[in-house]
Amino acid sequence: MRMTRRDARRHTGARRRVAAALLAAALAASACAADGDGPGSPGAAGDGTEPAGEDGADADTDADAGTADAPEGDPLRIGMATSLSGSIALFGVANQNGAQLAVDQLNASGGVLGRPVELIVRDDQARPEEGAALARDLILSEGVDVLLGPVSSGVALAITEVSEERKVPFITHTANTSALMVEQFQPYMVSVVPNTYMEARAQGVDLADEPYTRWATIAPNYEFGQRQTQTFVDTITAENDQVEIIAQQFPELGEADLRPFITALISSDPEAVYSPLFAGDLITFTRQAADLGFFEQVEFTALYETDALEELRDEVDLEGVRGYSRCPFTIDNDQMRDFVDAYQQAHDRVPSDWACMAYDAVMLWAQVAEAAGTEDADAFVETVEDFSFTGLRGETHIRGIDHQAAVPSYIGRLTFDDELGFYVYTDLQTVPAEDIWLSEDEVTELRGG
Amino acid sequence: MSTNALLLQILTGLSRAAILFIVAAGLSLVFGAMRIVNIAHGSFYMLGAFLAVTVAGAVAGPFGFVAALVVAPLIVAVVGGVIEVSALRRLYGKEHLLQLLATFAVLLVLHDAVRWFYGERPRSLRAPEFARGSVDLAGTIYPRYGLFIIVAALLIAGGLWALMSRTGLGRDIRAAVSDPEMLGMVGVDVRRLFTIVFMLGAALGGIGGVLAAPQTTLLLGMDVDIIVQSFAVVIIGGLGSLLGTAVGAVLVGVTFALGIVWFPSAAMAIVFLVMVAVLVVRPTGLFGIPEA
Repeated sequence: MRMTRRDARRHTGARRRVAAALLAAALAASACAADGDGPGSPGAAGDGTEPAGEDGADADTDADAGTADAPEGDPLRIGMATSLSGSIALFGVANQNGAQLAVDQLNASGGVLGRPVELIVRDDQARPEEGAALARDLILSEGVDVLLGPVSSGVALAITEVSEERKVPFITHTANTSALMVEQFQPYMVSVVPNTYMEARAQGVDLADEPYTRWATIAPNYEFGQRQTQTFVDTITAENDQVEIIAQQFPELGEADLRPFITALISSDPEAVYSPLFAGDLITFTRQAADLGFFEQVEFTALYETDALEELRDEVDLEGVRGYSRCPFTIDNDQMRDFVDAYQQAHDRVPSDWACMAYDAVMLWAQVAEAAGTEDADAFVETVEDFSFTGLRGETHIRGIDHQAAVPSYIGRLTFDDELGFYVYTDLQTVPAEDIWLSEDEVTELRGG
Repeated sequence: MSTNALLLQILTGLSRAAILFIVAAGLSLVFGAMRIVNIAHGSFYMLGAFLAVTVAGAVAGPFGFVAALVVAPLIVAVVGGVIEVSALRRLYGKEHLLQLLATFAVLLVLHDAVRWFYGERPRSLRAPEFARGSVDLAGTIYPRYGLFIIVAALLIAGGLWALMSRTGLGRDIRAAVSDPEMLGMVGVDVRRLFTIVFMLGAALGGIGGVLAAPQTTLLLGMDVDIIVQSFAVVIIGGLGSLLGTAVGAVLVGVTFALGIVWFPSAAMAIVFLVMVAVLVVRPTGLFGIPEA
């Protein structure tokens, strides 16, 4: 996910640190508290950023020692650059946990190509320059065979350049800007996450059939929010000419008080509201909207992912609210059930979308390597085109033209789960990739233009 | 726009103003009495909010929030006192730039301290039982907690007014506002007074944070977000003026809320336009005291 304002903050952060360094002399007394925060020191990525009480992945790659078919030889290496600090660190920790679980399972069942697999995770701090530098370092110093990550789309665009330059495969599983498949496409990139275009279009396609004609939107005010909203509006108005967009609000990312925005929406009397708000902003919105009677008055739909629902617990009545998700843990198949069990055993919580998709990224790479019979990058590219892999979302095909996995967008109703103590997705429906992605002609046309 | 809708919008603007007033009052008080522009004031707000989560968690049950409302601002006041005694005290009478940089450093230290203790996960706090849910105001649904905050801000405003006009401490603070040099000469312990004022200012920031916590999501950037808006409030109202802070907060809160309806993408810009307009007409703010 795509953090322009975050990047801006990071920059001011750097400037602030310069100012702070100047002041260290004047203020010798208060220097001690800032220690743990050495920006750019890669070794420090795991510690200090791991929230107290959160169980970060313990990197016990040799957990499988002693099994009969233990893999042998030099390990194959997976490098992951993701965000382990900043407001999206939750997503990065889930990425790490999901990928580590996949690696542990691979090692327990004989490794890949008979060799053990190792996962190396670094913090990209949601900064494109940092992401590019990490990707280069992972390739040159650690000799990784594949890159995974990141959370931020800005970082993904930086990493895809390194991947192309160094000819190392890059699988994106969280960042989902459609620029990766279109303007900046390069053959070493593969995406196992529905891209921004697909995700917003899925909502437009699905909701166009509903009996709502007066629509409003509320989205974070930066490139991601604006683009998703525009795609949604274009889709739903094209699919249903009765639909009217009567109000649009764009609060700043991280806005603490969304009530004036919510009351402004309510006052324009919409029947339904679409929102790409996520994480902390979505939690704020949900709590404040509930007290304003919002959910009783309008049909609302947003990216309610597991972390947000976990934080909201039973505080707000969300029974029956429509949500969309990229890879909910309630998907009904054997792979997902096994994965959820294993994840719960390891971390005592259910996996979020971000853990599920990182797991899928590792499994895709492993299955391609086995099919190709080598970890060679060019063999990977050749094999992955029109490849079908078995992941948590079932048998999934990779399209040749843009290396986008044919993953659906999931839509569900929220239902309170007594056992877990928070709302989960039920009555899952899928909007298949074929209905929502850019057609091959459109991709070609956009690239030519 | 219907009357009901307008009323609702103004009410949400007022509850926004309530938090802004409480936080900005601390900022304004410290500037008025000590002539320190405290960039780190937003950190007290953030610290208060995060501490509230801890305290309310430790004192489970119906009194968790009340305990947080008392204990968290006290801890914030102590932190403020330590900062005043250890760092700011050395900088009185020095040039403003040095003071700005020093409080900026404090902002960074507190930011990293909160990150170190709480991590990056967004936190939230449940509203106290008595302020949950909504009320029906003649057909308009409004959160009970919003009303609670508005009442709390009014009580704090009344308390501050009484403190300033009815107590010896208030008299000393008013004297410091109007003529800081004279204060020492008439036998007031200025060092002690400044420590108390800074602790009081910090506590107000902390109270603002505790009161804001149940209606929002606690994020690490909340310190900077609130300080920007608090400065708009005190610049409009006039640094150092309690009445000015109240008027400024209401202007900023309600202008923002109404701006959203008519100019959705430019509401904050309108707030700053109001600020500029005030500065053009009255460079010291609506109720500001010209620098001696």
